[in-house]
Amino acid sequence: MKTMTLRRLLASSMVALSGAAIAQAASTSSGQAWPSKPVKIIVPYAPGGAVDVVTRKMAAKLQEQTGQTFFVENRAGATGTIGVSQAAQSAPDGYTLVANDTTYALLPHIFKKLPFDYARDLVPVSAFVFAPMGVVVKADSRFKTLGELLAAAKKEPNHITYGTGGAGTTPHFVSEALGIAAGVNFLHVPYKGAGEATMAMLSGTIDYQVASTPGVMGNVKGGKARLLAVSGSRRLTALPDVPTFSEAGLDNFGLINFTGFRRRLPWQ
Amino acid sequence: MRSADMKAFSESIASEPGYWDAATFAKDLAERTAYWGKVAANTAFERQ
Repeated sequence: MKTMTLRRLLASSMVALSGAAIAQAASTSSGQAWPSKPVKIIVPYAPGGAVDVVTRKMAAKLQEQTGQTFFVENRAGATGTIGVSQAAQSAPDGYTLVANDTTYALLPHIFKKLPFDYARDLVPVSAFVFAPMGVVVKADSRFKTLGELLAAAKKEPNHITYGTGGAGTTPHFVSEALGIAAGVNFLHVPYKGAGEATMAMLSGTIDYQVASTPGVMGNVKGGKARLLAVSGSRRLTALPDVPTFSEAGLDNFGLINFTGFRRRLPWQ
Repeated sequence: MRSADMKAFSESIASEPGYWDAATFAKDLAERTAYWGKVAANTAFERQ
């Protein structure tokens, strides 16, 4: 009898197997089909963000393929640690998953103590959607290219400003990483939330913002903002005119964000 | 994610579909965690 695991199911969703094929494959070594009851997916962030949107789409796809309910619960707060902690305390039976992105890898560096064991409590299942990080400026910014932005930062250290939703957020760390890669120092302007930082970028209060591409797509397509460069080895299909960092002259910066699921041990 | 609707979905949010298995995911996360540690060491950020 075949053994079905979540990772196999997710892999199979990549090739859009029919529901019948999934059902045939979805049996455990004990003979019990998986999933035999609803599966909860915790999103440790507020509704509407990129991880939430991707997770809900994947949940719908898994439900379509298995015929079983996959429901999403948002447990936001404390940079995602509240939701992750809840997942870490769940039964290790495969019926509670937690979605995460690159912010998860920041947690040991922004908190002295976590409410779960970062190395042991949760293990990866798979990641399935990948979003570049981009440098975005307002539409009429004086910076037309990434090279112009970096040249200005080299000329005037700590004068070129970037905004984030706060210290310790992913955009904060990504901007710092960008500065390290380019050998420049930017000035960080933390706001109360990412929305305020975006408003500051659009109004020209700050020079630029770093964000994953799903978060800036609306303003870019709407003509309010421009992406100077995106991470990744090739240009995005959705944004064919935006160069990669490598194309823009920065070879050593290629951070990609991901959305994936983790689960408690030891279920397989 | 290779299905047409999932490809279209990924494109609609300026992302790329893909797949990391558990081992690849674990390896990336370990590398990523170490990378952020180096970045944190280069900033004035203090852990909370």
